Amino acid sequence: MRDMSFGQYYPTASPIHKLDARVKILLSVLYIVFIFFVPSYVGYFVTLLFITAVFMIGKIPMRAMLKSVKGILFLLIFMAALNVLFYKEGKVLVDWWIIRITDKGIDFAIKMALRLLFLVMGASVLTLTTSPMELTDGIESLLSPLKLIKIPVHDFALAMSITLRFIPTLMEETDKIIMAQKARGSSFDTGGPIAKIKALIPVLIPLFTSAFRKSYELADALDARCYNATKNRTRMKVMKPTWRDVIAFFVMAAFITFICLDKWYFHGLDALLVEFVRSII
Amino acid sequence: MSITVKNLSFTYSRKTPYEKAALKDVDLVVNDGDFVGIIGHTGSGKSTFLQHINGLIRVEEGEIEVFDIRMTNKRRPKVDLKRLRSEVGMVFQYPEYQLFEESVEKDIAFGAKNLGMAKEKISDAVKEAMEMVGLDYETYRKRSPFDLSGGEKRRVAIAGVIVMKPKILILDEPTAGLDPEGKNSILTLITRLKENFCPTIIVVSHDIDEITRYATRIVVFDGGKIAYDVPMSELFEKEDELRKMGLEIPLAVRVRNRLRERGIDLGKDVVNVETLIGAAIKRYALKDSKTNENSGGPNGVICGEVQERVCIESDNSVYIDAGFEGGDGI
Repeated sequence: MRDMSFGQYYPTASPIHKLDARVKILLSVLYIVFIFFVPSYVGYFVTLLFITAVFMIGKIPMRAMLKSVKGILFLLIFMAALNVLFYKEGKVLVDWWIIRITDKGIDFAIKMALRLLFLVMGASVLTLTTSPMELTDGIESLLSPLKLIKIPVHDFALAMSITLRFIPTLMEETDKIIMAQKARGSSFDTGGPIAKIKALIPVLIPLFTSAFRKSYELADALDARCYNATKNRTRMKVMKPTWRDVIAFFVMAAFITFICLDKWYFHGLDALLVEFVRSII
Repeated sequence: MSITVKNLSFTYSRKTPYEKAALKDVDLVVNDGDFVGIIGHTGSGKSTFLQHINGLIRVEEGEIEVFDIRMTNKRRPKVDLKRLRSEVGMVFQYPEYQLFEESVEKDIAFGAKNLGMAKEKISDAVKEAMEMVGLDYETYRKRSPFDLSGGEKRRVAIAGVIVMKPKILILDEPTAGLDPEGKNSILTLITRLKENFCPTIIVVSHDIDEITRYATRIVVFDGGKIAYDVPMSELFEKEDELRKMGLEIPLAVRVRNRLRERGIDLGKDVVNVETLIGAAIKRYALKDSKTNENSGGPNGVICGEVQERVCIESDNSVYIDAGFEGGDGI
């Protein structure tokens, strides 16, 4: 099977893997929200230390981390370039034609890129350390209050877990289809962009027919067992928060406290740092 | 020599937790005109091996030579994949994986078109391929490949490969999921292809009885290695070893072994029903004609000394029956 990139589950035994999926989802959301409040480069440096520590505790190798970052590299560069070129405020450094590069523009572009980078890294911690099943169970459990207003949460969760379950299956199938068509002499890496898109048709049609066939079969199989989303289904794995989850909450709380202090108490630690360095010199 | 494979090794998902060695140091020579049957348990590496021969997987370690096309782990000189695939045709297990066009004719033409054949030549080649696999050109050419039966789909899939006129044909489980009749007709088709079209054939199968009826040579894969590549009569002496690999020996050989336990030796050369019948006839032909009034049927043989009767039916099925009530094919 081909290597799957962005955010694939990386199975190993680590404290982060053992955390309750619900806790991990909540903490990831908190992290992602507060990343947007980080005001200073000192703050980003601390974030870098924080997320690196999380990766290390989670025993996720550098390679997996870089892979998740590689996926958004283009977006990062593109966004940073736009910000640099079209941010209007601040002291003008370069002014040529329609392009005006300002000091604030560069500052903003770098910060935005860092934000996105750390965001993706944080999100990939969740998907790298949580199996798809745990993830759906966690989401279902977190959304269960919505059942009170008659939203079929379990059905959504089932649809989601089926989707996640069949991604690798369909990937494998795609591989086989590609091989079968390659064996008939079709090539996927020659010709212009139009030829390349045309070459995909012999892959997409069998893939979709097979996906439809599989979905009918699965629906029949569910029906044959009288499956329906009854209220009191029990689970094989019952999620229970442990002391690990408490620790995780406190660590995240400390990180968030730092960000809040940085933003609202110190109004950005960069200025303080500069002053501090100056006073030493 | 059609195919020469030397020290071929391959590992899936190298350097990840999913890492799995699929092939370890495989050597194999396939000669022109061979009908090779490849057997092995799921995950024994047989599919990975065959995909290498067709250039679908890049060689990591070792080398493969198909006619004069050499494949190694070096990127240069570039392997002429188009030519390789026109020399080696590969039919995958599920025809659903390759059928995509709106009509049978167009679908079969896909391979020929990819090889850059001239237009007039393509329609001739399609016609020939369809006739070869036993699909009437006029009846089937306009039909949608998705509306066909399982056996017909498989025929279209085979036609879609032989339209490229390969000299070697590889078939992965060509009869999986078909009913007995469909199985027989596909196997007959494969033998016909070997006689008239592609001189060298490699077939992967789970069904040892089926494969021994047709193949002239059996190669056993186990744990990413070739476990046995010996003459069939020798191979089936290793019943216990094969069972450990999750493989059975052919029914005919089991019958031979049971008879041997009871003191009837039909000799070493029994590998399939045909040779079993042959050996039995050789042993009993003379006795048979004078002692047994109830022997009958075209292939019928009676083994007089045993309590159980070995029944060999004319449709090549074999069974041992203690209380058989006479009739055809004892």
